[in-house]
Amino acid sequence: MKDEEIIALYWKRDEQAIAATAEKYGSYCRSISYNILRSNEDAQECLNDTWLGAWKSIPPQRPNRLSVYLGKIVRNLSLNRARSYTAQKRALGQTDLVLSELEDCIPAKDDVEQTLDEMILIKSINQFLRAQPRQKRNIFIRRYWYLYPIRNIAAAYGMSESKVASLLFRMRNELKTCLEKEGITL
Amino acid sequence: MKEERMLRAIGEIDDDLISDAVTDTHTRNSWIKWGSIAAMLVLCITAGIFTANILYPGILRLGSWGSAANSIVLLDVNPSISLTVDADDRIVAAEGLNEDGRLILEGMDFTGADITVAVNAVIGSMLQKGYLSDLQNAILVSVENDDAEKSSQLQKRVSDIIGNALQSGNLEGTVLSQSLSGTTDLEQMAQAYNISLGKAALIQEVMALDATLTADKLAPLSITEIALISQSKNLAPSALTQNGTASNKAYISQDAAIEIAYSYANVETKDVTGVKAEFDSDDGIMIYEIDFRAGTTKYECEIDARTGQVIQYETENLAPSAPGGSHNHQSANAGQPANTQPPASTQQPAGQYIGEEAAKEAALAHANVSADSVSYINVWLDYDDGHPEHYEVEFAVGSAEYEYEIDMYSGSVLKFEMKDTSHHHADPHHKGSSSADIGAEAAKEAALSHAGLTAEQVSKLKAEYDYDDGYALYEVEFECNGYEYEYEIDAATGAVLKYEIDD
Repeated sequence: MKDEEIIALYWKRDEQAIAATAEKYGSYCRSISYNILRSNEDAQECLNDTWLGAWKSIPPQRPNRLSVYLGKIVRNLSLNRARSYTAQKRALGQTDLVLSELEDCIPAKDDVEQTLDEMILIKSINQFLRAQPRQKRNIFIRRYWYLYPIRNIAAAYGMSESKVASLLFRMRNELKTCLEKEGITL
Repeated sequence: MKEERMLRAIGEIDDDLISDAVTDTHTRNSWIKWGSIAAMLVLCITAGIFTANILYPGILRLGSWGSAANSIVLLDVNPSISLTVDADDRIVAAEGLNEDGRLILEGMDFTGADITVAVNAVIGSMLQKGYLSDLQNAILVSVENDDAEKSSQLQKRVSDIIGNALQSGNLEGTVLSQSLSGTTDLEQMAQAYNISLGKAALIQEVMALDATLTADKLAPLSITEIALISQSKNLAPSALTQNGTASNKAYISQDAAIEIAYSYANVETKDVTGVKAEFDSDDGIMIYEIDFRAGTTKYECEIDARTGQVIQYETENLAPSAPGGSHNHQSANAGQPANTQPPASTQQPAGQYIGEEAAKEAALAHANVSADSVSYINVWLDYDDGHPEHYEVEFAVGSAEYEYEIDMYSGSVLKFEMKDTSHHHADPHHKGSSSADIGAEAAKEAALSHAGLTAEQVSKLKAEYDYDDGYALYEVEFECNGYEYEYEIDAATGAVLKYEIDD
């Protein structure tokens, strides 16, 4: 079914919408959740919450890209769950690793304190990513948006794991420099 | 936690980036191929056969597209497009390098097609969408291939295809072409300004010939605009082949601009000795820079090339100053008795000056602005080396900021500068033509229809023109049933660029 048709079902308040969504984007969303939580059971629960979230938000929303719209919901829900687990010190998938990697892109404190608008941060990250060659950009997004394990990314691109790791390391530093230049502090 | 905040922020990056990251099958294959080429390269080198460059020209940048890639052809108008071709000039990959470029390529798949087909389709689409027109008629072709002969052949071939395509579109176009070798410098410039390597190379060439031009000035301009500036300054970049002339139809004529400058300065044509008029750019706006002399006064005037509005004006008295005349620029010829000014250390009694109020009034009168419509106004006596020079008056009306220098004795305007920070008058020169602006009403309609609502159903409906990273768009906002809708609408096409709904 085409995205527009699925969205039309949501707007008609037809519950078929959820079945169609789960069929088309179930595995996409599950892999996002699984990367974050490393648990089939948790992923399934997040998935159910995602379908509910979509049902509640469409309408009024009319997503341009349904896949990414759902992806964003499931990513946020999964990260919320991951955070509550961290508090309980339960082992997790990629989340802890990714978080410790992201430490590299936190800009150092600057003299000029800027109250940070989230939109400015996001815009800068977008700009940074758009200025990157496609492969590098996609590797970065696979790691930090989809939270894919490095091994998985290396296999997808026919690269060694150490190459992917060092490429990501350089990009994190570049992003940090980039944010510092913009005067962004977190 | 800061790391989590970063992780969440990354979660909100643009949708197209997110979906592209897991659909780049091209990349997947090519990296594997690239690996095998690299292995072959190593073999060649270790065997002492230095044929790698002949076998795989341009391998460092081309490598990522695999063994088939032979040359990269970059097309720049304002949309930037990159075509990667194999040794037989067949398309291996086509990529839009900016938002407009991606728009042009939308729905097109050239893989395996001859370059003639691809270039024709791209030019056709640019003509149809108004990126190429009477007003914006220049296109830049840059070819990247380590083999100079192959590069110039392909350059010629693509230029001819474009020439024919423009002719059949009844457009007198101009094709600029060049060979490229990606240096670190160029790549840095391209990355810093988010422009193609080809455009960066053109800018570097032009900059090398005129020290007043900077990458900051030129990067936001279209190829037509850069070509116009280079034409009017008589710059002839040696590495560039140009067929045809860039169109100046979007702008008032040079003669008209000169006339505006004269009448602004209140100077008769017959009194003018030596005038120079050139295209230039100010904050991405095309301007005429007009310098002339009348009597002992030197005038510098900047005029918005689209509207004919004077945006900057400056006079300098070259003769020794006479009492009551301009004192702000001392003549080098200070020994002349006509200079009656006292030494710098003894200030003139302030009573001889017109005073701050009068300076304010003079500036406001000149700008034709009433005192109650300004959002702020500052005035002060400006000193140079402890010597009073002139009054400085600064004020803003709406988004327009004015700066004046007012003569201390006569109250005449010595210098004037106006900047409109909203870029309202910088109408979409990145687009094909100014007619490509759909207008605020159409933008509202586009947003409403996307939301499935009518104007009657919503409240607080407003549309605002904005210029985001050189992209002309309308920001449309409205409320309905407790939800706040925010849209970004492409000012040229009416396409929904972004939207957000909050409760």
